Amino acid sequence: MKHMKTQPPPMTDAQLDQLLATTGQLQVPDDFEQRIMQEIASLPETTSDIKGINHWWQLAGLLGAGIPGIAQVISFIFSIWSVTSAG
Amino acid sequence: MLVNEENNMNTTTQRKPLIAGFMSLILPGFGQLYNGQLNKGILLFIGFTLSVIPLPTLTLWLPAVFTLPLLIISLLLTLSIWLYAIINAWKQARLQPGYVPKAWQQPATYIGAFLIAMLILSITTDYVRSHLIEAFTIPSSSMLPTVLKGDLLFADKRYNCPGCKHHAQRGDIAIFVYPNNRSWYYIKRIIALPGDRVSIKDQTVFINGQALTQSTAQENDANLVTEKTETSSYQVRWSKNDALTMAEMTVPAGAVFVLGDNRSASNDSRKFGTVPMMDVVGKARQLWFSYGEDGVRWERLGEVVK
Repeated sequence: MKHMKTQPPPMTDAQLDQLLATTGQLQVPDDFEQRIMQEIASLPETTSDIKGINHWWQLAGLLGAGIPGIAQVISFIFSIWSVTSAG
Repeated sequence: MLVNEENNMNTTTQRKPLIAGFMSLILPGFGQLYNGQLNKGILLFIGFTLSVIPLPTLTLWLPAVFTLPLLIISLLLTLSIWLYAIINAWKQARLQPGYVPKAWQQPATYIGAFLIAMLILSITTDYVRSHLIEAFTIPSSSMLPTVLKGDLLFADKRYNCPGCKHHAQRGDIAIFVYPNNRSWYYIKRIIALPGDRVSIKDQTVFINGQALTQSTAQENDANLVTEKTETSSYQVRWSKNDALTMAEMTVPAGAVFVLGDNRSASNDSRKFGTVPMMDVVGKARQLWFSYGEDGVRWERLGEVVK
């Protein structure tokens, strides 16, 4: 007869909060939220600049590919219909 | 939990419907790639490519009369797939205002996919036109009354090549490279094959001593002569006062002797000699458009060229 290992059922969030409360480890400082928000506000502004530059490069690339892309697709669709002269 | 939300906030980017639609306009399925629908994008591109290729290929195995209708269906199907790809990409992008880009959605992926797709389309286009089917426009009246000036026709390119099912036969209307200017194509009827003896006397063509003429009818200032070969019967036109005679000649190996059906107004083998067999690249199959001084000749659309 085989012995099967049985795992305990996963704990819910409420059970986890209750367990942490008994250990005294879940002591959130009073100014925790304020400090976090300050950190977020002080994120470097350059990221948006970089995003802006990337955005323009993407647009330029898209428009640059657009002309040959559309030309190629149209030429492909009408490849059978485009005529050569035979006198 | 807070950390996860923060990560999501940092990586979420808006999908822009106009960009998605424009990408599918450039290349069907490309907008779906932008929306993160990899499988759908690939399927749309494959569907688009196949709709241009298999139907035209299929027509070549069916009677020539089906060529034009099937090619029109193929064209409509292709345009529908393209339109669907554009609208679908635009709509899908609108449904994804908070989108988390997938790991493969990098500029290099888009550039690579675009270049590969362009290469596939370019190779396929060249292959179809050089090996399967090609459209030609006729700028001269040298093939009157069979092919008129202003006719547009499809030619079967699976003709007279190594491994091809169809070989050059007497009576075929062939398209070949003009011997005196290799950048031009000519369309004429193959009259004699390698080794045949050909001569012309009193508006009658003789092949190996046998006249091709079956009957002659009058039309204003011309004679309409019906000629017959082993595989075909056709009408040619001679001016009434044309008394051209050509002494008997033997067609050399690896060449064919060609004549225009408008015998009195055609630059053909009587002037430029025989045509190397390897320069014969296609056989006329079906008219798909025709226009003249009086406008579109609707009655000729879809006519099988014989």
